[in-house]
Amino acid sequence: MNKLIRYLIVFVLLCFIQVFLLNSIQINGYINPFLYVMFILVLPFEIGRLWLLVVGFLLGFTIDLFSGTPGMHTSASVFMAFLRPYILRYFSPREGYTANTLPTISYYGFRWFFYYSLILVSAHHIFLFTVEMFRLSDILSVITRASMSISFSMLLIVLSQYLFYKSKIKS
Amino acid sequence: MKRLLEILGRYFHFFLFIILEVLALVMLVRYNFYHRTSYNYLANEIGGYVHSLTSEWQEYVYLKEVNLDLSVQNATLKNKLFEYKSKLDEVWEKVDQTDSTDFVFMKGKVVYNSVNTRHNYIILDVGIKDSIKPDMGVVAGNNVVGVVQSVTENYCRVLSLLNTDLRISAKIKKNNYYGSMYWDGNNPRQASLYDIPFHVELNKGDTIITSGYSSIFPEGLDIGTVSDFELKDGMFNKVNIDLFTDFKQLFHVEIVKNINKAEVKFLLDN
Repeated sequence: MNKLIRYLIVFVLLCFIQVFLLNSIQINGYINPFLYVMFILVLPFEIGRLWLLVVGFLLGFTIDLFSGTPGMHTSASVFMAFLRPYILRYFSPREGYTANTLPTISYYGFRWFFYYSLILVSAHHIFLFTVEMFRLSDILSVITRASMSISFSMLLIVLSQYLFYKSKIKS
Repeated sequence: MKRLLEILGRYFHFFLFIILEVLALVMLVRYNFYHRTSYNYLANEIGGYVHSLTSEWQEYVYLKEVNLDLSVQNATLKNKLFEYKSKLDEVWEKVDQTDSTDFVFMKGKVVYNSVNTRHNYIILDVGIKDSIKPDMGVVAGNNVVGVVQSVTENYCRVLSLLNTDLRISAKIKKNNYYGSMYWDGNNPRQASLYDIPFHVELNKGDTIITSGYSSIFPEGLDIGTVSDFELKDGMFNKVNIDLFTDFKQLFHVEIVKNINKAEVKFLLDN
């Protein structure tokens, strides 16, 4: 129960940061970091696939609600939530994931977390920008915009890992 | 059934994923103006393409009917054509009776032509076999060239306008005063019109045409324009004419046949 409330708080916080802070930052008109996807990244290993999809849907829906872009973030988040179990399986250590751990830097190290999140964040961003463009002819523009946003999102995600989760492990 | 449920259960997360994505995309297309228009555009394009394919197919399928329809149309049009043709013939007969076309034109090709003597001739590749006879006029387009002098089986000799022996009845277009025109043997671009009374108003650039009195040429063929004029013998003007015809560049000409020439000649001779 305690855990659930904590995740709820993280959910609200990430949405708040995304909607009121990051959405108003648009460097160069191109780069728009999407930190909110971190919520899907750090959910516990034990969460069921169905719940993961529902959470992804709700997360994207919430962001869309405040960004005035119905369906856009929702579809991308659902896609990312759908992929997460497959990516986790692909990156799983030989002995499997330890119980009561989270997919964060504090448990599995920078290298593991970086690749794991890079793939999912890339998938999310490319999906998002493709949906935003809504046509395949502008694929080059999609790739440039996505790659710029991916690097900034990754930077923020990794930084926030050190800010929030590192301290937790010490305490 | 049990197995179906099993499969459904195993892949339920996948179905849920599809359901949620469809839901999201429906929202996207429904509530975003840009995406809606894009979607409509795409749907239009695809729909149009499919329709063009089916219409092509339909065209092919209905080819037989279209063919039939066209052949029926063709037949009715043909019938109408014959109808009008007979009517046209009737009209032509009437026209011939009231206002007969005396002159018929036949084309011929220049095989020899001279401009540098006082008695120039032109030889054409038409002769007796083409029912060419002496004293037929020769024109190039609407311009006078000469008169047929003698005819052989395949060729005819034409007295060129540039021959001092040829005289042509010509008149001033604007006031119909006529005179006799012939070449003085000097400038191949100029000839002279004689016997114009001194009181006749003349200007440079006035057009000179055939009079139609000689029954060689029809009336109104172009000869040239007035370049200058001088009084001779106190009564008549000699009018110099710039000829329209460039005799150095004659290739295709027409021979003028006067159908009623015999009648005219008969009247003249008696």
